[in-house]
Amino acid sequence: MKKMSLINEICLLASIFIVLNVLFTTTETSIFNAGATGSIIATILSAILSFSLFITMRKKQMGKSNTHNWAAPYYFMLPAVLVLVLVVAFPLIYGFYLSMTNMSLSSFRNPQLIWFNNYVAVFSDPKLISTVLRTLIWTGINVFCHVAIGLLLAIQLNRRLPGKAFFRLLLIIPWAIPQYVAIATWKGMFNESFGVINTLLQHIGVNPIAWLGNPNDTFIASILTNIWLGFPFMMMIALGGLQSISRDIYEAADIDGISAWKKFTHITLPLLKPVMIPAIVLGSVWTFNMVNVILIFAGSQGGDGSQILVTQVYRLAFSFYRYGFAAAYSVIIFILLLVFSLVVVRKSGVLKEGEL
Amino acid sequence: MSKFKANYFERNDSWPKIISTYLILSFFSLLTVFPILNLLTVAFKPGAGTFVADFAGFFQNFGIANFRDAFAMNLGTWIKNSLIISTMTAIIGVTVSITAAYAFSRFQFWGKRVGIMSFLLTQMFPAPMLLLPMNLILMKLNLMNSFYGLLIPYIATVVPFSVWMLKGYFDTIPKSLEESAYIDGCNLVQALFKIVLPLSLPALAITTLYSFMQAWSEYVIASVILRDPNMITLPVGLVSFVSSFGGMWGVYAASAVITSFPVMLLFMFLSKYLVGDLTSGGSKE
Amino acid sequence: MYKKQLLMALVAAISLSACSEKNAATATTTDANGVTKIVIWEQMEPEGEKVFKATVAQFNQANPKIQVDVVHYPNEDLRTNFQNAALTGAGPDLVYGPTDTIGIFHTSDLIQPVEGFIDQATLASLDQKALAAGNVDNKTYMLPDINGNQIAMVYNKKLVSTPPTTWADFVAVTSKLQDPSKKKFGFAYFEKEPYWFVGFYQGFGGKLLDANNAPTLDNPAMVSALQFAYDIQAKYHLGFKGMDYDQTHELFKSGNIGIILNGSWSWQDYVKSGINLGVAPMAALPNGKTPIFLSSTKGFMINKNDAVTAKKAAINQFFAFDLSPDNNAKYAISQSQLPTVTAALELPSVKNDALIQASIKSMQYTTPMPIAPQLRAVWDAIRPNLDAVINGQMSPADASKKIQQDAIQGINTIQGK
Repeated sequence: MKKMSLINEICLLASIFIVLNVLFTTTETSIFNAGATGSIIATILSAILSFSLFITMRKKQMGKSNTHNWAAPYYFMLPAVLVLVLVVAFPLIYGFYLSMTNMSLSSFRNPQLIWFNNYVAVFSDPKLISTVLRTLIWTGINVFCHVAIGLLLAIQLNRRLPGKAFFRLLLIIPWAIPQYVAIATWKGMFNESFGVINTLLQHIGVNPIAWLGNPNDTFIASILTNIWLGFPFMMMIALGGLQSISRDIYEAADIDGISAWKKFTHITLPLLKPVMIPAIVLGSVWTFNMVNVILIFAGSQGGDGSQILVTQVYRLAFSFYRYGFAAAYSVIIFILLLVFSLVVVRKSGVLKEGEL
Repeated sequence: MSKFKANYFERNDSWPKIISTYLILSFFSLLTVFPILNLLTVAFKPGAGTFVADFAGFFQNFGIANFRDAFAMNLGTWIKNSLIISTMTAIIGVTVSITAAYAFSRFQFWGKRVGIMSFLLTQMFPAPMLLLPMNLILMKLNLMNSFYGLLIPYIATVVPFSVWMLKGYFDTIPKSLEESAYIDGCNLVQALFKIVLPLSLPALAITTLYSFMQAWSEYVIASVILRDPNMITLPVGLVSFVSSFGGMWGVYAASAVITSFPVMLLFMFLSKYLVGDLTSGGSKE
Repeated sequence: MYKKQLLMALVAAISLSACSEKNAATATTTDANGVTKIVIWEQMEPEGEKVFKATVAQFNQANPKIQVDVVHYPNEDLRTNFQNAALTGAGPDLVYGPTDTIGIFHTSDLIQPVEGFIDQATLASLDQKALAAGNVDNKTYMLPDINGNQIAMVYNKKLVSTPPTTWADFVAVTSKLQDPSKKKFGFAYFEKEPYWFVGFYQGFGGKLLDANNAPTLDNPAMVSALQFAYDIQAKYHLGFKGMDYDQTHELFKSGNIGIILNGSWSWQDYVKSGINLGVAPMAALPNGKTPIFLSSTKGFMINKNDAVTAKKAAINQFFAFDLSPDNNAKYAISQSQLPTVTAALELPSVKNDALIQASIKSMQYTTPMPIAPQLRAVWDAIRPNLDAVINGQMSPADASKKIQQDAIQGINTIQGK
């Protein structure tokens, strides 16, 4: 029963995707090169397919929303789904399509389908492994620091404390400043001869470091900058999440004489889960795909030594004009992230029903 | 002495704990403020040519010429445009997300698991590759150079996070509260508005701020869609101060400072909801 | 009951697509009032942009039936946005940029030749060599308005009274001014950027690409040039660590640098900052040869889409105005580069402009920039390896080989091999 519904879910969504894809193409850019008649035929076929699936599923409707109109959840979801499907489904499909073409400078207007050649090229790139590793390190360190620092600060700010509003305001600054400007500021701070960081280092007797001069130091500088950029967001979410934990629990724990650390690990963390897990998953996805910092620090023309997967995509697409190849990289990124989120979400049980 | 402490601080905090709290907060605040001081020295230095701080010359070179120049170059129009877009994104995005999050949180229905994961999916495809299809789709729908053309991608960007966040927050509110409301004769929509939402103010504050912020600072899509010089938003306008070699860094920095104000103001306004003293999460039985 | 919903959804979807077909009809050439709209995308430097926009405003006023709109984009964005837009059948009518963009736009089949579109009279009024700089496959793809974009030796007359011509002189003059503790430097330049480095490489006799646009970067000239770049700080103790564009530009503007290497687009800025400016060809390298930098023209390229071809008459009218000797001279003066309209070169405003005359002199020590898209790969190959050599992490001999390898790899990537 469980397997059946999963397949049907996928089929239905696939057919919806196909319908929409066809709707948004014309003879020029039609993905299946079928022309106008082909589009219409495909539309009708998909409509019939999804229609019949709907009828099948009605018979197997699960759940016991008895007192309410069973269609209510769909009504509720409709606006959000419509917008998303409109703006996201098409680019995703287009991206998949592009990854199987050879679209580049010389085949710009009329790319040809070369199926999986791009993927073969990606996997036979000797630098793939180092780039993936670098991306994983980048994501891991960043997210860990964001969450750790964010949580730490949120707990401090959750106390009764005079002046905490003032601190709150200051601590949100990295998030409020336009990202481009913040990164440019940090780049200036890392300047080898005149930047503040090297000046400070010299004051404490450390030799100035050539921050932007070689790939490794550029990478470290990027990580430091991105940590600065990202922790206020996690702090804000943790703060919000802490509000949902009633004080009574803590007071009961105090009466029982439980230590602060145990309070943290046994009360705070578990109760923060429903709010923090989505934030961590999304935060990881965003950090994984964060182009701006490394782009501005290493430049889109920087060597391979400081790139992560997504900046590699950027370089391939906009410096080398290999749109098809870049799309293949993008699909791989997409699959990696998909697997990651599925695993995290399943394991953390955030999607399970009936917790409280 | 202890009465002073009891009035302002947590009952159980010892003095060392209070001091360490302040130390931690001060340390990180210094970290966040320091680069801004950098920015301020450049902003207040008329004719600044580099984006590197000049602390020594701050008072000698002080001047507000950059701010004046920024407004002379249409900064006011950009602010207005960005305000319109960001406010609309926040309002529409959050509204749309509330209904979806409520459905995910309270109902068991076919397609739920895939539905909620697919919200996540939308964030995973790298942004650089979305440029070309975005161009195509907006061209076909004739949405180029219009605010609607901008709104739709923006809402699509903020909905996934908002839905996940709100759902997570709704999950912490026990269903028993709504069930007692149903017994009293409320219908679905009333239950949502009168019971669940007031208890989710922190999540609402976060998602509103996030949605506003996304639209306020988004550059790539805006630069593609908005072609009319009177319609461009702040991030696009900012970039016009910088050219391939060198740029009007002083004006750029001044504009950046001005750009940050509304977000800070919004945050100040919303943070009382973020950390409100609510009797949240409790049906005090 | 939900059958109805589904049907409604389908109807909505189909009507959405139908209505999008209607709206996506090619943009009309004249709008409701019979006004022809011309859209230009550019990446001009701020000073030049001001002059150009003033010219456009004048034209718009004098020609109520034609409306020219100018949109500014940063260099990289301009390229990407134009590609994306032109591919979908939209995009601006004209796009402004330097000659290296011709290779890219032409290979992706997005621009059309100038011959057959622009009036003969306008074409004939231009310097034919400048026009030919935009030639690919025997057709011209750019209508140039300035010629230059070259790097030369720029010196502060207050600190350096006569420009040095030999290397020994150069070192002597600049070393005297070098005082890092007071943040004063005799010589500084954007050391990590290939566009500057090329001057040394070509001065030592190297060439970037051969006749087939294949890179020729691994040779003794490259090794010498890399060694020279390294020696500037390590052996001659000039400059400072991490010299980038903004730093050096700013320090020179505030009078703290004696000699800088910078492009003609920046000279006006220095004059406006009150520097008593001198421009001269760069002093000779240690081997006695003068560095040879690159020059390029900048101009307008024409979008290939059908809607643009329909606006031919209006566009020609615009260029007749914009490329009149006076207007061309005004723009050229703001950029300190040569006007391409031959008549403009004779105007007193141009003849008396010291910077343009200096530009003309320094142009003798330049070669035109190749238009091939492969050049992109060459820049990408040089940049990180030049970086490593200057930081002392790679030897010039190793770097020279690596640059050639990286360039070949880059070219293969661009060509999809």
